[in-house]
Amino acid sequence: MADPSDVTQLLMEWNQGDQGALDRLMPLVYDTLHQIARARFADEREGNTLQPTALIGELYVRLTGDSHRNWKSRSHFFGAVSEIMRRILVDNARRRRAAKRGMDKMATPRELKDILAMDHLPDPDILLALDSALSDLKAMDPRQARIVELKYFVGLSIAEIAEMVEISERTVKHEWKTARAWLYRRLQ
Amino acid sequence: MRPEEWQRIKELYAEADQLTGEDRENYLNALSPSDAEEVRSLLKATDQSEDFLSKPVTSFSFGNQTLVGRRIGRYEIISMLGAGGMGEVYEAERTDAFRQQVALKLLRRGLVVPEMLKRFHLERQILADLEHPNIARVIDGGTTEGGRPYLVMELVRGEAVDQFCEHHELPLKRRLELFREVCSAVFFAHQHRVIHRDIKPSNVLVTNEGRPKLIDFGIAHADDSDTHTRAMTPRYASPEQIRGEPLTTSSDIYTLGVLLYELITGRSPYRENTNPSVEAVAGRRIPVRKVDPHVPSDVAFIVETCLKQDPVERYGSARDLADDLKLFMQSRPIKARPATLPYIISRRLKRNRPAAIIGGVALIALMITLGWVWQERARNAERIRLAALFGRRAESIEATTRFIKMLPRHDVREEMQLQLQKVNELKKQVDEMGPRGMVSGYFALGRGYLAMGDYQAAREALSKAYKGAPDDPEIALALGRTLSRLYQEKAQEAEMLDAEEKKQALDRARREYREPALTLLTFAEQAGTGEMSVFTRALMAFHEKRYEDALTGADRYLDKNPWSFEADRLKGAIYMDRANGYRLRGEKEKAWADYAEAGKAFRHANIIAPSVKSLYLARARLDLNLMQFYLYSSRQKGSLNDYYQDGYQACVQALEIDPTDCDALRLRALLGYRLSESDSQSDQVIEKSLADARASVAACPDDDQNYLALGLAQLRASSKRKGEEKAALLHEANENLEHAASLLPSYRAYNARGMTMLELADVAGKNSPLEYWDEAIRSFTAATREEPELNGALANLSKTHFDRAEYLIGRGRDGLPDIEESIAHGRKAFNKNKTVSASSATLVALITKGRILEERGLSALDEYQTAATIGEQSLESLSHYTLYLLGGTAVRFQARAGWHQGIDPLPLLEKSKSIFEQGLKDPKLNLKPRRMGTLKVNLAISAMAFANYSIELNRDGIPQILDRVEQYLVEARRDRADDNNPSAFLVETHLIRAEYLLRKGEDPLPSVRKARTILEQLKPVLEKTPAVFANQPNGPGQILLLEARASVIAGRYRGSDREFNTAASVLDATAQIEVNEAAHTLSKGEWARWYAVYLNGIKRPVATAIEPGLAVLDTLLISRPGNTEARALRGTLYLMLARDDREDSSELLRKAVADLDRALKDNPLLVASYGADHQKARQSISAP
Repeated sequence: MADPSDVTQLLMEWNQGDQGALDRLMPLVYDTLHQIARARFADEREGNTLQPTALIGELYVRLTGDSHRNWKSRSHFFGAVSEIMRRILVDNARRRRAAKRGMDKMATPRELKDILAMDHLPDPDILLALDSALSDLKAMDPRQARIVELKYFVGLSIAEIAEMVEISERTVKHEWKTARAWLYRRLQ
Repeated sequence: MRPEEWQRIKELYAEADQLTGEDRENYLNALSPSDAEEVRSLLKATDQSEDFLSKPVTSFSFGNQTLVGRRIGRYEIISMLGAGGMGEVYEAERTDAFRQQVALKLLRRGLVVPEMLKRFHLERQILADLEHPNIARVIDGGTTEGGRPYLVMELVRGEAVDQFCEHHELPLKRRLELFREVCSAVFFAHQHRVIHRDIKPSNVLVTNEGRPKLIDFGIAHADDSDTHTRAMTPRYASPEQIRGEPLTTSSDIYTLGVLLYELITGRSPYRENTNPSVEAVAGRRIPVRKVDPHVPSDVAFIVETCLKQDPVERYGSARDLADDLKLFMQSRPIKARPATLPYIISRRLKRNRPAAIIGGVALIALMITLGWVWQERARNAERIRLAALFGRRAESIEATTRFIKMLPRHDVREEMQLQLQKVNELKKQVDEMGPRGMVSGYFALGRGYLAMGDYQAAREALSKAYKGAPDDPEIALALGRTLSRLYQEKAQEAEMLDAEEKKQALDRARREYREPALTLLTFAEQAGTGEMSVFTRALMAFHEKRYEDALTGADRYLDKNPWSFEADRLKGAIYMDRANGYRLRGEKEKAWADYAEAGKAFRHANIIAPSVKSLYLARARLDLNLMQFYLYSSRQKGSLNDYYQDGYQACVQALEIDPTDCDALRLRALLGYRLSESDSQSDQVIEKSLADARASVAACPDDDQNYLALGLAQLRASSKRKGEEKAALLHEANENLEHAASLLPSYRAYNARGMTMLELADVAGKNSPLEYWDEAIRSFTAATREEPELNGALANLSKTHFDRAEYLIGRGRDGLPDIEESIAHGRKAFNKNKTVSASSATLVALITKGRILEERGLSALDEYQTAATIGEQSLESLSHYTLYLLGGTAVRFQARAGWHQGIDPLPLLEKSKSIFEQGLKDPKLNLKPRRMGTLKVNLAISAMAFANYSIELNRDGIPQILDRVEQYLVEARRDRADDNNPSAFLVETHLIRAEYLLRKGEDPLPSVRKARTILEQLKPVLEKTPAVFANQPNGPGQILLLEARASVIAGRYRGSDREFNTAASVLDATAQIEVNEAAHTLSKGEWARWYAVYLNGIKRPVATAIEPGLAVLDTLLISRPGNTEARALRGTLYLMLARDDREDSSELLRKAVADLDRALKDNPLLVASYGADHQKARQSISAP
């Protein structure tokens, strides 16, 4: 179990632009996700689906020990998680691509799909291209890139993103639409 | 693009996005060309990207599929590897000291029901045994807290075999090597009764070390006939799998074929854009070489062999497939055996044109037959369950063997050898496999042997299978049918034996084969086996002796399966069995009719299956049986020679199927052996039989039966040889019989060897028979040890001792110990079983002992009485000429011996007479004239004795008796023209009548004349060939005694000195030759008595008559003091001599009284003849 104060510290550092903080945060998030999954399985209920907000909320509680759920820095946290998710998926895509070429015999042990339903996981090549395009988009329009991350990699709803990013839903919708068109054109 | 620029474009884009149609166009046209272009392209992307990224890449949904992160037992679930209908497979890590990564397979929660639990546990158990380098190993297993069972298996990290081959661009040879490893894994699984059912590239992972590993056996056990519980992959599935039929291992062979095809060509065998299921079932594939002409033709052939539609045509096992690939890689010709036999057959059909037509018929039969096999397979899933591993091979052997059998009659050795090879391979595998596959392995092996007709081997294998699975109806059925076949054969063999051995052999066949067969069949029948059930029920009815039901059942089965030669064969067996029963009960007409039906059934079976050797042999055995029936039956049908010819022909036909078949050769030898038993035996038949027996030994030098047959044939043939040659042949017979006994100690061999020794003793004659008798006694004793319940050898033992006793007596040595032995063995034999040989041996020995005792002056009454009783008991159940003869004689001797002890002989003689009369009337005897004559002579002797004693006892009815005696003897003389006995007894009859007439005071001379006429006819014959009569009861001496007796009677009637003198000289002459001492002495005593009466009448002294009489009587009474007649006669002679006025008169009177006292005391019956003299003597002595 990670030390909650560490997590808070890391989040702060990341928020202040330290990308290295995210690297250190990532395994904590990953492990905590596993813990959540394990807890969810304990009762072996069928159809146990968590809303992303609820999941990340739980993740936050577990990571920071802040059970008030009135977390000011949740926007930061969501940002961090969405970027972590993106990294996890990209890692996964790289491995999958390697496996496809026969270079890596087996997927990594702790694969993401164990935690998350991977029904819509695109082809690794597309995902990697998307990642690269998204990086370019971020350089050009960080907010738009963040919306894409929250929407596509975490699965938050428009309303949740609006709340998270503190803009109107309409703007989120418009930004999302524009980003999608841009990314699409980029990937053609 | 810089952010500022992007912000501008974004705004322009937002504006344009709001507009539609012309408005948008106008707006865009107003922009700078580069901006317009940028916005246009974004707008265009918007239209196209409606679904793009619309669904989040993740959704946090879990719990219904995965247990990741949980601990199960000592394993922590790390990730899910896959999920399917049966459950999920996870990667897990062992959490204790061994940080081992494993695959954990969990049964889906919805499937946790008893049925599935059972199956899951079964799989765990079976897979646990599948330790093979190319199979993912089962490590552990258990149940979660939630009650879900799981399996822990070796985690294979590897690449699918097809991808591995592509990525490494493996050459053909390396691909084949990889594939062979897969085959070895599949074969190993099959040996453990596991069918994979879903072999496909993704289930064959190649590890970093380059080792292919078979994973995901799913729940695919060979015992699991339900195809629907497990998904298959249509692209790789076999046609039968697609059709949803119960699977055998052969389905995996097909799938391996698809995999091999893909590994070689890089593509599916089915055309693109088609449904592989449809194509597979239709058998539409692109030939390998059409896809890639560079594929070697052998490899293509191997692939095609795997992909045969009919499982029977595919490789028999994954090992066969691997072996052929190996042969190819070694550049050696591949076997691909399934194609070989049809080739042989087609070659034969081409070679033999007329037969080809019949062959065509047989082919239709084959199709029907195969239909039957498959029908059976489809109907009985239970059998598939058991036989999955080897069953198909057994079926292949069954079907092929059947096909061979239905071809026109031909030499099957080559083809059967191939089948035998298959069976042997099967056996090797079964032996290698150890206890796990024991049941199904031995079951298959047993079926193979059964198909091959090796019932003993089949029994052995099936017994093992049955031991392992005593509740399996299929195994029970197979074993039951095997035992049934064995019973049929054994019963048939038993029928060929002589009566007493037959009973023993039949009892054993019933005990060892019929009863267990019935039990097994009954059990199998309860399980119900479809169409087969009709047959099984018929078989059961047969074994329960419900013949009508059995025949109806067999016919009903034949209605539906007209090509079943088995049903015809069963009919044959039913008729045979019933006929044997009729025969035993003496219902001969019915027996003959059923035997004929049996022959018909066997012949019919052979028309359907002309290449079934055992059917010809069954027919030959039937014929052999019929020959025996013919020989020992009074109501004969057909002709002995016809049966012999038919049996011989059947053997010839069997030999066409297998020229080295020693059973056929032996049967042919035995047929000849039987034929040679008849009167019409010819030397040629015996020699042929001998040659066949020799050939059978040469063909099968390990079979004791053949040596036995050869020994018997030699024994029989020896009767046609003489001297040295005969002795040599008998010695050979001895060697062969000894060898037969050394291979398999048997009653028959020892007994036959004893007989050979008796013959050798006979050949040795007076020289040195003793050592042969010793050997004979040893052999018969050994035979008795083998079969203590059989009495034949005991009877022979009795006979051997008797022969030896006779020999010793003839040499003036004591024969009594051997006689005692003879009696003891004979009686033991008789008590075991009342047979003719036992009874007659005992009777002869007892009678002989009686005579020895009598010669020693001892009473033989006990011996004769025992003999009479045994004779009587024998005749209650047996009818045999010898028994009538010996039985009647024993009673007559009893009467004579009893007479000397005052027992009325007349009732006994009446009994003796009636025994002979019954013999003459017994329809079962079917007597030849000579034997009738002998019985009539003996009847006459008993009747004469009756007449004699009647005269002595002053009884009535004598002329009538004598009339009948005359009649018997006249007939007997006709029956036995070359025999002087009837004539001699006729003389005696006339003399008895003369005596009777004389005592009545009537004229005896006509009778005397009659007697003398016959005597005149006899004398020249006697003089010419005295040797012929030397051993006869009426030898020359007896004839002379009769002559003397005639003279005495004539002298008494006429009062003729001359007659008495003639008699005296004849009696003197008689004393010079071999003659019965007692008879001679009594004749002389009679002569003295009547001559003295005559002399007394003419007042002459009687001493000249009396003294010679007393002299011989004294001698006789010293050796035979119990002869009361002689003693009484001596007493009378003393009395008569005392009447002469002599000094020693009182002394003589005392002697007369002493003799008469004792004689009449011992034999009160003598009072009738000597009572008056006794009185006179007593009065004379008391009144001096």
